[in-house]
This record gives sequence, structure tokens and C-alpha cells, in this order.
Amino acid sequence: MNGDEMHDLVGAYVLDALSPAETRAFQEHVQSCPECQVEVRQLRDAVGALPLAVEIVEPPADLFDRIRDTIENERPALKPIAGGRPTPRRPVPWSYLEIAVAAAAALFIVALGAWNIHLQSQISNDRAALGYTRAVNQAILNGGRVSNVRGTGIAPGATAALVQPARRGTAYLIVQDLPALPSNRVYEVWLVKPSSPPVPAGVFHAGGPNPQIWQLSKSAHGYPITAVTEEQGPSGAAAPHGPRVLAGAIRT
Amino acid sequence: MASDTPTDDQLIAAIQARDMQALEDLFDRYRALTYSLAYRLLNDAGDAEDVVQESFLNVWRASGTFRPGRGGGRAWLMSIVHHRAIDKLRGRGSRPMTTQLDDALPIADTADVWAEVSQNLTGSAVRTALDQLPPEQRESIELAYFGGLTQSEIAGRLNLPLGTVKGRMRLGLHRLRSLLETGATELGVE
Repeated sequence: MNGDEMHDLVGAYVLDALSPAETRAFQEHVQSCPECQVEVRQLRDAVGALPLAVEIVEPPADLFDRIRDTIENERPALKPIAGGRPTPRRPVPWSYLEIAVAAAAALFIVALGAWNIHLQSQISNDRAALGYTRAVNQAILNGGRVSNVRGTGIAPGATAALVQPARRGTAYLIVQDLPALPSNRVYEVWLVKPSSPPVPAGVFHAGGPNPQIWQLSKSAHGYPITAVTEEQGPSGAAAPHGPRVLAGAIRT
Repeated sequence: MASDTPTDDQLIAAIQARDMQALEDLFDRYRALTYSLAYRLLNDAGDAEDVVQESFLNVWRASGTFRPGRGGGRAWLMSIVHHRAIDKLRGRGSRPMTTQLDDALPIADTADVWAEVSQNLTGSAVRTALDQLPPEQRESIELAYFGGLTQSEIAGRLNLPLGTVKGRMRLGLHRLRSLLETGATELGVE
């Protein structure tokens, strides 16, 4: 096929009406043909308008639930938080009462808005973190619950807040002033119910004075307590073994 | 008028940052249009649902391939839906998106009014423009885009030389773009 014949394919190409072999041939041609490059752009504009001409049919109401379920099931962990994995070690039993007493003294963060402004200035060069900041802000504006989580044990100066969106969705944990960890250790987030083993909700490896936002791997709905422990990296543990560094009651 | 409603480009940027709420917002905005296009091509509710689901999963996984300002988020999203519906219709597996490959082309942006025109297009305006095309051009475009036929299949169905079909599609799309621009200009979009 010569250049002119290739040029004639541009309409069929943007309409997705070429065979796979013709598509490959045209794409090779267009790489070195400025005229075709411009024409592809122009005709792509017209094709982009065609969907508007269809008669509107409403999809099933639960379609997005299926999309979200697929995404959440395919990612054992959301970045930047990684998911925990079972380990063969024997867990140390947790006292629900012990955590609840520690959490009862917690104060809610009333100046979260101002803190978020601080957050944004600290992490303005981090696009992913900005996305989380936006998501957290949006969750709060839409009636999400903010729960204070206090430093305990080896991290008495640490502060944190758990943000649970009012609508469905996973929770966020904002942390600050956690001790820096060696490379083989991680922090692991837990969600706790009375008389039930703590449920892992993701691990992260970060500490220091700058606020950081982590998206948990689960919703915190239905859990009255959250806690963070230090565990073996990189995947954390199936049940808490290490020292507890944060704990707090989750507002309902 | 200023608005707090995020643009498509802003939502897609947030999706790149793994913002699930932004994906849900984009879905809410285009749920009916994406499903309707898939349904029009496939004429099967289950297949249309699959295509919409796969398309939004594609948006989540490949949002980094979107180039802001290149036809807009709606055109990008709809091209994904169309591409996947065509693949399902023709019974073949997933293949590289032509629009994504086009985005890699060394094309200098052609400054024109299209971005503005595109934002203000309505279904009625597009249907009117299609009605104004010569019938043979419209037929070839619709058989390809909404019928999922290749140019060779169209030539066979209409008993026409392949070159005639190619020409009708190409000329028809140029004419359609011109009509849409003209219509938008008459409505005051510059």
C-alpha cells in the first residue's frame, strides 16, 4: 500500500473499522506522515461526538458497586499502604478493655481543617498524597467521622486521626511524629471489635515529623477501635505481635 | 460562571492519585452515556454492563495514559468504551487502544475551537449534524461506529468498492466535524 492509499484509511482508522493488520500498517505509516497525524486528530474530534447521538438507556443501579468491589479485591493493598500477610508466629492476645481505656482519654482533633492546610503545604510536591488529601477533605465535608488516635507505648508523642467517609469506602489514617523505623520493620494498622481478633488493615513504612496520609485496605465501619503496631516488614503480620504505637476509639 | 464541580480532567487527575471517590464521580457523570453506547453496539444488557465495568476498570488502571486537553476526558472515556465494545462484538481479546497509541504521536497541538465546541455539544446537535450528512456517508459512518463493522465488511454488505467506503467515511467525518463546529458557532460558542 503506498502513501496515498494509506492516507485513505484515516476515516476507517478513527472509526475502529480496520482489521488488526490494517491498523498496524496505518499506525506505522502515520508515525512518519505529518498530514495523517493532523487528520487523525481532526477526525478523532468528530468521532468523539458520536456517542452523544445514542438513545439513553439507564444501567443497573449497582454497577459501580461491582466496579469498586473488583478494584478492592484485586489490590491486596492500596498504595502507599501495603497489605498484611499471615505469618506463622503465635499472636499475643489483646485486651479489648486495655485498648478501650487508652482510647477513652483521646481528644478529637478539632482543628483538622487547619492541619490539612499544613498538610497540603508539606506534601504539595507529592501528587498521590495530594489525591489523598483531597479525598480526606472531601470525606470530611461529606459528613465523614474523624477519630483521634493517640500515641502510646514507644511513641507517646505521635498523633494520628482516622477519617471514615460517611458513604461507603475505605478509611484514611493521618499520622505524624511516629518514630522512624529500620528498613525491615513496618507499622501495621488494625481494626478491632470486642471478642474478635484484630483485623489487619494495611502496613506502612514511614515516620517522622511530617504528616502523612494512608488509605486503609478496609472500611472502618463497624469497628469501635483502631490501633497501630510495629511489625516485621515488609508485609506485616496476620495478628499483632509488636509494640502498640497508636490506639484510639472510632467515632460512630 | 465559576463552579465547584470538578472538570473531567480534574477527576481523572484525582483518579491517577487513586482517589476512588473521583472514579465514582466520573462514573456518576457518564454512567448512562457509557452504558447506552455499549448497549447500542452490543444490544445485550449483560454484555453492555461487562463493557462499562471493564472500561472503568481500565480508567482506574490506565488513567496515567490520559493527556489533559487532548479531546477531553469524555472523548477519552467513550473511546475506551467503544474500543472494548468492538472487541466484544468481534469476539476478540483486548488489544492496544488506538487512541492511546495516537497520543504517542509527535503531533503539535492544532489550535482550534474544538475543545470549546466539544464541551458544549448535545445529543440533539450531534443527531442534527448526522441528519445533514449525505445519506451514503452517514450510513458508512454508522455501520462502522455503531454497527462495529470493518470497512471490508461494509463494502461487502453494501456491495461497493472498498475505496468508495473509505472515501465516504473520511469525507463524512470531515463534514460532520465542520457541521458541529458551524452549529456550535451559530449557538455562540467561539
